[in-house]
Amino acid sequence: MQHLDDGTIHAWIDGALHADRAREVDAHLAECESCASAVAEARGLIAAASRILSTLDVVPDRVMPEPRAAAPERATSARSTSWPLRAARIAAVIAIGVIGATVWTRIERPMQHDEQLTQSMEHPMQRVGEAVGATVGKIARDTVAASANTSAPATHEPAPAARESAPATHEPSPAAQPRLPAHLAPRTDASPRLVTTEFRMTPDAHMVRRRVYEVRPGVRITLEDVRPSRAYTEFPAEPVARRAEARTLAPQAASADALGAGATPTMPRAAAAPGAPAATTPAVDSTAARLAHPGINTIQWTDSAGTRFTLSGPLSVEALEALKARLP
Amino acid sequence: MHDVDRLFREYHATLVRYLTRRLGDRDWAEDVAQETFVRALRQEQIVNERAWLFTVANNLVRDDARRDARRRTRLTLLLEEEREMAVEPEPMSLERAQDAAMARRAMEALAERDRLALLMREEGLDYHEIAEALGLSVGSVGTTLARARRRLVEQYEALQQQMEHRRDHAAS
Repeated sequence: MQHLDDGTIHAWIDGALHADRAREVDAHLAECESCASAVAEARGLIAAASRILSTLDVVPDRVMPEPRAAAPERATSARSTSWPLRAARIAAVIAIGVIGATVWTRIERPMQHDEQLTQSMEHPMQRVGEAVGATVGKIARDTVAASANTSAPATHEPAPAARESAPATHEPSPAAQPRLPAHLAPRTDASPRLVTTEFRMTPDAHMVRRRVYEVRPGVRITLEDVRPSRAYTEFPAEPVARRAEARTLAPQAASADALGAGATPTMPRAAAAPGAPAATTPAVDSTAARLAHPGINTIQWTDSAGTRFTLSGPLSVEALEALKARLP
Repeated sequence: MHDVDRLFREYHATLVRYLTRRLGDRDWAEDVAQETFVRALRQEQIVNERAWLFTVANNLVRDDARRDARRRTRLTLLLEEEREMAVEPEPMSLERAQDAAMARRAMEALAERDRLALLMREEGLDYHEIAEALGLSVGSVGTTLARARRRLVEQYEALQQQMEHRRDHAAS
């Protein structure tokens, strides 16, 4: 039997050969070292190619539809860490830095006084140990307090070692935030962040894309769009002018289900623009449905490509209209 | 009429991943996948569903590639605008971004048929399905895949070496 060619080896590894042919290859490989090493190399190539291709799944701004549904949630919670909690963490870092400096200073100082060397070395280290213990305990308390009550400013005194450096970070009241440089300010009025994307098919063969955005921690809105076939190939040359028809509709149960339990029906920071279209007479007004989901509003519109959008959430119609401009 | 839910559930994720890897654009991939399923639902009978779906998706991508450049540019601009408006980017390390860029460049060095065969195989298509989707004989799929894998890995390693060389050069 001749040596195996690359195609046969790959087909054999992929299990794509007919049973008879596969048996021949098995027999040959048992005898031919050269082909056996070619198989080993091919296995390496297959694994390496898979690994290389998997790096192409890293697309910075979208969520893969199915394989890891939990991953975006985890990322969300990491990014939506409350400002007080982050402040406490910053304080912890600064405090540890200060403690480090203190340790250094107190070790350095006795070295300059030979006559007190022995007792000074014991004494400062003991004090430093106490200070570290007290400060770490303090930071832990602050962190717990801050995470337990994200709106109240932390009232604890900073630890002695951290007093000079850390006070600013211990006052995380919302009123203090605007004084921060723009690039450091928490993004409470940032664009809604995509949390999940799901797809489903309607019985009449339309694809519905359902995206859940977080406006701010605990407040989520749902955007569903029903796209006509090949909508994206029909973009006009001019920017898309969206034909809005703001209506208060009975919320869909599915949309309401997506809202977090802690959702609060308040306006986002970026309130409705003065020129935003006001809510008109409800086209559909199901009192029963509205009572079932009080505070959930829905607006619908269709863009010039024919895609039908439904946006719902625990916000006023005006707030939803304002958000609409910031959504795709 | 097909079982809509089953078809969608079984093949949507894999088709979107295949198209995303191929096109490097999730929105485009989703649109092509959508149209593929719409076409599938209009089809009376499909013998091999997976091969059929990938074939239609490939044809739709090819059709898109033929469209005029102005419209494509317009679409790209809109997509970029949409991303800037809506989504806070996932944190992506420099290393991962470099890996992805090198993988994309290495992929582009492959002949189209080799590239598609490899991407479809990665999504679990068997040799018969790949042959059907690409109009190849089943016997030539092994050779196609062997060539594609080797070239991809060689190209990628060459790019890695180039990068390391540049890094060393910059450090010295």
